[in-house]
Amino acid sequence: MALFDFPNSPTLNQQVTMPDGTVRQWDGTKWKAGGATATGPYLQLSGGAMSGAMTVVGNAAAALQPVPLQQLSSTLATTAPALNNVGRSYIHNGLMTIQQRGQGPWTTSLAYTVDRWVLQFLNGSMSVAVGTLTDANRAQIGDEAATFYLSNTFTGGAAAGDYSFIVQFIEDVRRLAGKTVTVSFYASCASGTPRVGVQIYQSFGSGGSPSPPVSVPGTSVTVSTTWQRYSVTVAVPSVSGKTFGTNSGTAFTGLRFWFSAGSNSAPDSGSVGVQSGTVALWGIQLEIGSVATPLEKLDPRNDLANCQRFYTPGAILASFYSLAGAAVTSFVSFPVSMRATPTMTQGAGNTISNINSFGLSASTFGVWINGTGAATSTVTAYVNFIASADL
Amino acid sequence: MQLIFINPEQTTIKATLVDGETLGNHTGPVECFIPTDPSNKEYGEILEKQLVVADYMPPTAA
Repeated sequence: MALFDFPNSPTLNQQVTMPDGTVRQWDGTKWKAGGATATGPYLQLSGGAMSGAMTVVGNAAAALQPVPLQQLSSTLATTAPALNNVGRSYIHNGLMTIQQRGQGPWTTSLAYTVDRWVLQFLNGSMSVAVGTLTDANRAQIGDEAATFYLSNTFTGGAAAGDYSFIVQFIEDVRRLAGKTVTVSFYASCASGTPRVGVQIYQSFGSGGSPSPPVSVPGTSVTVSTTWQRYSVTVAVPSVSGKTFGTNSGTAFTGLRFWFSAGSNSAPDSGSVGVQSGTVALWGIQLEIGSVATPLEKLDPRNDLANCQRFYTPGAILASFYSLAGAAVTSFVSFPVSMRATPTMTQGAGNTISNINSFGLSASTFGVWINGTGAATSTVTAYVNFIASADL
Repeated sequence: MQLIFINPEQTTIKATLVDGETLGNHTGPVECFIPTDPSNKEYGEILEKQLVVADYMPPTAA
């Protein structure tokens, strides 16, 4: 390619034709380009201002509109609150509103409390119950959507191996493996300044010879008698190379809130120590990322359905004429498919008549009666049931 | 704790737990019907502890 040399000492508006056929024009200080005639508008690489639509060559029918950052931020601020209320949190029932087992108190270790939350302790005591937030509480929280909290009145055991915590088992350990997550929650206490520990651990399921659970060291915060939001960021370990149990669907990530811990559990609990008191929790969220975003609030229908996947009460009503010895059955679908085939138990107030060998069998999608007619007569089964597929 | 299959296909176990006995997420006194699904916590515990389950007993003919 031949070298091109601009003219020395150009005059104002003097034009030259470049080797590629385009034209440059001297504006008194610089050569400027502006299309074939060097007279069209141009935008400087630094400074200047562009107005109107920008057309991308190659798709001239569609104009690309430049959007200032300020306008984009304003638009996001307007629309995001409606969109960001769902889908970020891996915790079920973080608002404590789903209470299919009632409002407690629950005082037995390993008992489920409000849906998806389990209490566990060794020695000492725990009494977990649902409480109702007041307007004063809501003012401290800064959210009028807050309705119920989960409170724990506890006395920590003093031995090295004693502990006291609530836990939620998050289905499928792979979902959070190798990710940085942030746990956020609101808490207050009845008196004093107790510490609450936040800890994540990984279980690789049951059956066969799974890898032992992995505990991430916990982090604790000091709570007060005023409701406040706290957050803890945790690096969840990778599960690459781990051996999973042969029973599918049994591996999980556990999120624990420690209230008291002997010295054996100091690393797991964030060194909360042996404590006693009353601590209340609300608005628990666990999300991927290193910052706590606004607390999401699922539509109540979705919140309930998430919990029904693990636990659901229901009823079978059947009454019909049967021959003696004939198979007796009746089927009811669950409101949502369950995590695993559930264990069935009977609720109170049931009527079962003229049915031999009564039983309840289930699949992940429904439950049915097993039995045979005791006589050639009307058989009746009014059965309140509970289906549990909890982890 | 009493464990017995309730059907000849051996797909469901009736577990009778006395006061204070635990199996998975259940604490006695309670009667549970447990599916033979290894993903089910109670059945997983039966397998892990190698608990003996009695054979199905057909009902006496009327």
